[in-house]
Amino acid sequence: MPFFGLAHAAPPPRVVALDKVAAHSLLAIGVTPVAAGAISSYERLGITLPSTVIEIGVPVEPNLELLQQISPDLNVTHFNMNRVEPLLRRIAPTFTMRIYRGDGRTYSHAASELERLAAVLGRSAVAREYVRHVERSILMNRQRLADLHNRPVFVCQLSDNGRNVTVFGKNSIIDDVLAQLGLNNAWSGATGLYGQANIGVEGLTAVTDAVLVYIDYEGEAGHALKRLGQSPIWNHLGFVKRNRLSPIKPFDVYGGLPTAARFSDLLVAALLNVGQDE
Amino acid sequence: MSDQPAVFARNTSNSIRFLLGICAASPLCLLFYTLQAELPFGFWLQALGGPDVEDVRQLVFFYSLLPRASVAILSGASLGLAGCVLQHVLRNQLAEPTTLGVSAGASTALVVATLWLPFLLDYGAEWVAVAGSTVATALVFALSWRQRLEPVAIILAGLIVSLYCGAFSSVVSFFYYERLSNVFIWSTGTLNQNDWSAVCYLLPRTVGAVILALVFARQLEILGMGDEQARSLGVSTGTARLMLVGLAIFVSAAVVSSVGVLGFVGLAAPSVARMVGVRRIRPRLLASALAGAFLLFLTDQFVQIAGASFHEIPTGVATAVLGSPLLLWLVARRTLRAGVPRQFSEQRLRTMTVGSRAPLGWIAGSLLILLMISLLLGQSGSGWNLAIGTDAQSLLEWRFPRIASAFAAGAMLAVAGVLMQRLTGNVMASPEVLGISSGASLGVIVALFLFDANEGILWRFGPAMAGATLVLTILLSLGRRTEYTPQRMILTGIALGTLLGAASSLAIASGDPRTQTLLGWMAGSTYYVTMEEAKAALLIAGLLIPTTLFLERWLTIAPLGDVVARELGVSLQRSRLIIILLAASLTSASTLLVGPLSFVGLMAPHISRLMGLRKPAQQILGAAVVGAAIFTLADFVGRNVLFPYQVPAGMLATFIGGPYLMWLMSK
Repeated sequence: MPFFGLAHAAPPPRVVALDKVAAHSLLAIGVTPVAAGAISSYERLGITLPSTVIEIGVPVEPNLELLQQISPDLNVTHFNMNRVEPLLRRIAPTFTMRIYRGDGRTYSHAASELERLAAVLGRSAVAREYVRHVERSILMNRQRLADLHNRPVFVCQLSDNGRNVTVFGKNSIIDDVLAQLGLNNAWSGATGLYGQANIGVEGLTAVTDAVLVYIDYEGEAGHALKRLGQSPIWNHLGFVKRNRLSPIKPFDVYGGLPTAARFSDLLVAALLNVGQDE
Repeated sequence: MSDQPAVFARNTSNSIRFLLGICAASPLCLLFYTLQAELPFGFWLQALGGPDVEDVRQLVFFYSLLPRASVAILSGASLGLAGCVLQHVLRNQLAEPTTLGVSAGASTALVVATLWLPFLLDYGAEWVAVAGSTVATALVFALSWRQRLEPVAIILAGLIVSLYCGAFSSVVSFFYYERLSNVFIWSTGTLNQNDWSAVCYLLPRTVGAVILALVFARQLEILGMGDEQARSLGVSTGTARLMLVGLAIFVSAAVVSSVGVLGFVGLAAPSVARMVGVRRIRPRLLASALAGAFLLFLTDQFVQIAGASFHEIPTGVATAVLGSPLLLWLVARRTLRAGVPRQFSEQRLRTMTVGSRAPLGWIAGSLLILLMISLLLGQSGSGWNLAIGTDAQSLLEWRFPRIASAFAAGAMLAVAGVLMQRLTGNVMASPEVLGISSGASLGVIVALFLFDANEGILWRFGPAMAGATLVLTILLSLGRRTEYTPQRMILTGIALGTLLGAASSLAIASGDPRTQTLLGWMAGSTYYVTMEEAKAALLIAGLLIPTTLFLERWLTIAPLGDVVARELGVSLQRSRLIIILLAASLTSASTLLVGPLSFVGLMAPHISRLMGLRKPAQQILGAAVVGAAIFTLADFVGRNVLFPYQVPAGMLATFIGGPYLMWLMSK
């Protein structure tokens, strides 16, 4: 049952996004939040909000006095650590997107939670269309990557000490998208609830024919690569030797369905960049 | 010291041989196992001569496993040596690189560089870290300069600088969580290598430091006897101390910058050397370095073997996890010489007293005004507002729990601080030192990650209470056997504190977004305190604090020591037990409200005393009022200064209190 049934007669619902997953999901179904949490972190991840959106504070501690003054019709949050939920409910109905459940089906949760959110806002049709659009775009990207099918891919963040990397595996939405694109995730080891694992660079030696895609945060990746360039192990890793190594533009590594779409597009750009020689 | 009976010398060399034996044998077997698992023995010679670049196993053997083992040995030796030098110079068994602000300075510098001065990292993160360590330590020296670098002054300054840097890093991490993942990973202390560069960096520094320490062993020995004797022997204590501490800082900064925070090695290694019975200075320096190398090497081998079959955990976390019980065990078994001269600290506080007696009523009045302002004044989307009229009810519903919990927590921490300082006769003592707050926090972290505990009031109270109770039980069972000796209790607290630091680093470095909640709580945020919890807090504070006033006689006698107490016919064992129980309850309650950051517990008792409130009951009341005022103010400022962002009160209390204490130190 939608809370705001008569969408045509009533003014658009005032929705607050407590974090970037909520904000990104709302934008995807055509709802601009009136306020959002920690807005400054959105831009480099490709989430664009109009400048009129009010800053509400960090997602785990949004400013409740300000929120009460804004008096929204709905709060949207995705945080698993939802201690803030009971406080938010005192101000307005609160919708929590439960995407990361640690069961290896993050993509499908991201899609179903987006549709569930849309139903509450009376925008089910838009959401269904969006989910289909993302599926289609991933499928198209899959075809563009036909040459690389079954290729193992590492997706990682390089640590600037040149010794550690964070890789993403099972439970991450990255893992699901890789599978849908017909690629193998080269990291099959243990991961946390959000699909992340911190490992040493020497942990990347196990898969010899992999491609490595690293997230290109401004500056940081450069430092890391400079360091790594001095490492004999790094220089003899298969993807370094064959130059199968590519930067990917930043995206929200712990994001929802819109992130899946963005990652799929960015990955295609990154992989088509990689040398096809051999 | 120099002309000991021959029997000690023989004992010493025997124990060194024993130590050497263990050092060499057990970890080498493990190393053999680790290396063999990667590369069959037959290929070793080839790999050592020049690894076949097409064979990944040989590459990993030569460029990862061997450098890693070398780095572990060098880092451990450096930290052990640094710890030994520092403990000797400062005549304090609690001294180690971490207590003097080395890690905190390095960490703060990395945070600042990552966020605001990224071009500095072009020159290498090591140099940024070394610069941070140096600045932090220089600050420690500057603060203790006027006290002629006396041991207690240096330790206290190191503690303040560490807490201050820690608070700064926490504030920034809270807001820039996602951009600091590199710093978080660094702070867990990972030893993995992929070339020999870290070895090349550490080797000359470690060897140089060992040689220098041996050359200056005589100065070190004289400093260990105390200032007066040193001066009578014609040694300039200031210069010698500066030089030797500088050496220790330099070598530990090199380690911290190259591999991250490796808690405990600098504290545990000299303890091991001491417990084994090495008495003379040169053997002790060597034994500490060896013990450090042994501890870290062994730990790192275990981490690798365990990592192969389970989850790889960072070595820095492992040293803390393995080191804490080791130290607890050593503390329980052996007799400890009192490290901090008790009279010294008492004297120092007495000479530091400033101004005349400030009337308690006047301060209490200010506190009331502060409470009113804090309740009624606040910011909204359209600027500052007074909560009067229709909004008032709803605004007060948000504000009251936060203000009440800040008020109660501040008062309880302050009183717990008075109890701990009185009990131990040590100006460094505070609820955090007791380890109760660390225990409570550990409980919360474990619940968060193992059981994925999410909702309800139990989320916080259950695990935290369990952790606090566990620590309390350990403290009491250790204490019963050792008559609650202050030094032991403080060592216990430090052990647990290190463990907490490591566990939270691990949790934060895991990159799991849930940890941001943890960061908030650990930083002392009153955000999640409910109305019921706030009322309960006020009630508990209202019951416990007056109870402490009945301990006047015990608290007067406790700092005088066991002998005096026995002469006065007071059973210190029973009175200590009761004081400990009260301090633990006060600490648990406040930790549950505002997290483990407890600068207020250290600061408020000092301030109360400086205002001329010297008798226990007076000091308790004064400290309670001061503590409550500091925390209330911190909460008010925190809610408004970066509006709509809210800075956790515990961090701000540190920001408000830190400069005051620094000013006090430099007077």
